[in-house]
Amino acid sequence: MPVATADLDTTGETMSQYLNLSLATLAAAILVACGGGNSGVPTATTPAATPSSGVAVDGYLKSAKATCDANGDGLASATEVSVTTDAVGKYTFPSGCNAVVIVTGGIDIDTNTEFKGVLKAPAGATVATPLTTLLVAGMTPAQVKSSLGLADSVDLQSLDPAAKKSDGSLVNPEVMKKSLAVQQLMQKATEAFAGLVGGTGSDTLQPIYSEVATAFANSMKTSKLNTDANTMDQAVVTAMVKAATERVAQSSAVSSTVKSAVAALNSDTMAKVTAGSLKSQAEAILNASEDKLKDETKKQQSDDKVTNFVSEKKKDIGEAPSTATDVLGETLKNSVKDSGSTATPTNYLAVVDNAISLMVADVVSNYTMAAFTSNAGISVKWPVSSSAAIKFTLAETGAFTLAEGQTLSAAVRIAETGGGKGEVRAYIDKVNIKKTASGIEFVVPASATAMVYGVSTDGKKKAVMDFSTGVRGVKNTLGIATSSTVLLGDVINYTINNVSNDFTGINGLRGKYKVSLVISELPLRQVGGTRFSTLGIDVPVKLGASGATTENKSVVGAGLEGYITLTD
Amino acid sequence: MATSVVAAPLDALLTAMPERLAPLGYVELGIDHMNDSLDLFKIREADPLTAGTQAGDYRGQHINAGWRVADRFWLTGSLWQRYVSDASDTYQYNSWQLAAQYRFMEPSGAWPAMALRLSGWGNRASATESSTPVNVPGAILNTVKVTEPADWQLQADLVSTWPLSPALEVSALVSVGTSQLSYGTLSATTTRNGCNYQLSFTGNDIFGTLIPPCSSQGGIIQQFFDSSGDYGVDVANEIAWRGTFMQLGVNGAWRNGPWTLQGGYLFHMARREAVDAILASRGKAAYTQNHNITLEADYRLHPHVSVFSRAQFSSNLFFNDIPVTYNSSTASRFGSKYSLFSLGVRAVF
Repeated sequence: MPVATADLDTTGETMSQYLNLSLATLAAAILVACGGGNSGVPTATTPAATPSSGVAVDGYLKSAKATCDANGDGLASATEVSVTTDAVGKYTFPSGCNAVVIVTGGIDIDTNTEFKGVLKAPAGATVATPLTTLLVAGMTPAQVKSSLGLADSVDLQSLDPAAKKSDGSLVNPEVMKKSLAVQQLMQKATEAFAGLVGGTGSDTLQPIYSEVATAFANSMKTSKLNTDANTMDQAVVTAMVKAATERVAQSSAVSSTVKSAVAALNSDTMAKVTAGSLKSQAEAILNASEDKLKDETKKQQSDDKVTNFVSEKKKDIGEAPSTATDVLGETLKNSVKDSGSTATPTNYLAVVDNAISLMVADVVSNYTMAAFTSNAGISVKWPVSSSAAIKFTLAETGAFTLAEGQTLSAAVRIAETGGGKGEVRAYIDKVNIKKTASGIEFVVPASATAMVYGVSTDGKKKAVMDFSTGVRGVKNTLGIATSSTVLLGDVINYTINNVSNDFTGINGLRGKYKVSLVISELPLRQVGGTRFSTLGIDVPVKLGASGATTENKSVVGAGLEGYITLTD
Repeated sequence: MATSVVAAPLDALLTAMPERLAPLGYVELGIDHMNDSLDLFKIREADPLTAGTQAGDYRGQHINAGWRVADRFWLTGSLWQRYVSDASDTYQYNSWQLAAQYRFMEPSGAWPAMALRLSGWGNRASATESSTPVNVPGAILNTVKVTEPADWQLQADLVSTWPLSPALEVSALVSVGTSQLSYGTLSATTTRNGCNYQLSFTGNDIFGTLIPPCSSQGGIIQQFFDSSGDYGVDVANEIAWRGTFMQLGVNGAWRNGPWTLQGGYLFHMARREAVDAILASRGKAAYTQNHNITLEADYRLHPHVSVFSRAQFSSNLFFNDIPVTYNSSTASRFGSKYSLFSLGVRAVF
């Protein structure tokens, strides 16, 4: 384990302290030898030790154990001096402590939950927080502040993030939130690793926590975790989790069972699966209003979905990253987002009645989602006429928002059932979406890509087609609360007759097909707020000389699978 | 005659008694040419696709050597370097031949000398690339490139020679052999939906990749793979065919002072597996017979050195000399007559 700069400084001061003590001892021995004490000879007095104190803050940790890590091994040993924090997290070493302080156990008085992590504070610090833990783990104060976007003026070693004004509000809410968010990341990553072997006790968790903190610190040194006050960088969180996975898997400090269980994970997959949900949890704390901060923190800290999911899916997480990894990550993230929410979901879009209509000439066929997803599926005449269109109405529940510059990806897969190999897969990405007064505006920019992959029924013909130039510049607005009609016939027939049928024969397809649809980054739910399942569709975009796929485009998001029977 | 022991294209002059002019051995160096001024048959003018082009041009050089390793027993070897042109491209072929000939019967009375020759020979090019469009059932191939095209032959000849006088001899021969063609890779270019594609063939599987740019509107096929056979191309059988052949020939040699004159006729008949049937199924002609006439005049400048001039005429190009040039896309060219002229120097000892 790397020795932090703070440790080295502390060690230097400890040596100085030892030297002073030795001189005092020598002086006392001389005095004894000379018959000192009450012998009437002038006496020398032993210098009084200076008490040192600090405060342990996640929320304030009461009844926690604060240990002066005098031997600098990073562990709270029984032979080292330890004290117990008071009701507001304060600890005092009567004889002083010029070493790193290690805080374990106790109760977070904000959430009234047991603290299972390990806070550390550099020698001389008057607070022990998740942020000072990063300092002891190897970051400089400047690096911590840079990564979290804190002001240069913040003194991490003395600022009590939980300090309140006389009116009860936080003096430094930003520091408190970011401290809690960092703690959330470290604690949940720790619990995810421990959960692989069913470990929940402090003896299991604390060594892992320290390794996670060190790994996080190493990743954060040169990366900005916070992109703004309320948002974390997914790539940085991913890198942190990956580093933590690899560090714990190699650590001699954690139990061998944990070590081997973590070593069985693929660090890239673990990071991709969990980073989104860990980020989501931490951001929930960052985004909480001050009056809801305690409740949100308690909710997130007690949410064990990540731990349970990793434990349940550990076999999958042991595999190399794939689209299935993205699906797992998205599923977990949605699960975490919905976690603990008993209220009816708000702020989403749905298709009214979960139904659409297909209009071909004057014939209107109505289809429900339930019928589509049933084993029987729905029937559609094939091929469709050029005037074919689908009609549906979007409804907004609550008031969803779309971020500035929000883009959307969508994919579809139509595959033969019954043994045939025929299928068509298609995707479009980077579609700009914007909420307007009249609905949702879709604009396909020049940077968007639209590709189609087709396979003939006998599997002997395959083709990859680029439709990007054909769709660029397309602009459409789907109304909210008003019906929208989307003409599909021309596009489908162009695709079939002008290009793909030549190679795939899809014009001649008949029978029952499994249809999968995926849309990412759109707050689309079923009527009533139920989330769609998370699906991933791989669309081959490059083939090798043998016809095998060499590169896929994966689209992961809210998905729907059902059956369509194509009839004459 | 020394030259008469080399393999194709000079089987027409094969003799069972090569030591009548080269008691111990020989070495021959020569250059070979065919171009517009030498084109007696005006073959390119007869075809609108080749009229006014370089199609049929040929230039090359060769070295032949023979060694009588024992009484009646000869070993010979040859190397050719040939440059053969079609309407727009010129291909380089390297050719080789190794032969062993044993005379198992000396002439006696009306009985001729008889010899058996076994030989292996072949042709190889690093690559041939045609920019002349080739029609296959599913597409028009704008260009076709074959890497490492090659042919291998095993041939057995039975040669009979009647030494009618010290200056005159007549020979007859019958030959059988097998051919096997091979290639490294086959690629082509084609145009679909207004876009150009690079095609590579793995067996009969076709893999196409867009050659950008393509200005077609709407969807553009980037890549396609087709193992259905719908293209109607049977690559292995069409360009890497197997076959057998048979030859019959007669020739004569007459010496007069420093002059030696030779003339020979060779009938070559090939039977190829699959490729000719494929051609027939497409309504195209398959050429299986070739008639060759070879004439040579040799003038001795020194007891051991002579110069020679040789002319070869064939009814159907040179498919018996360079079988690798015959495939389903080139076969139609083999209906043409052809002539080839050579000059060289020969050392005998």
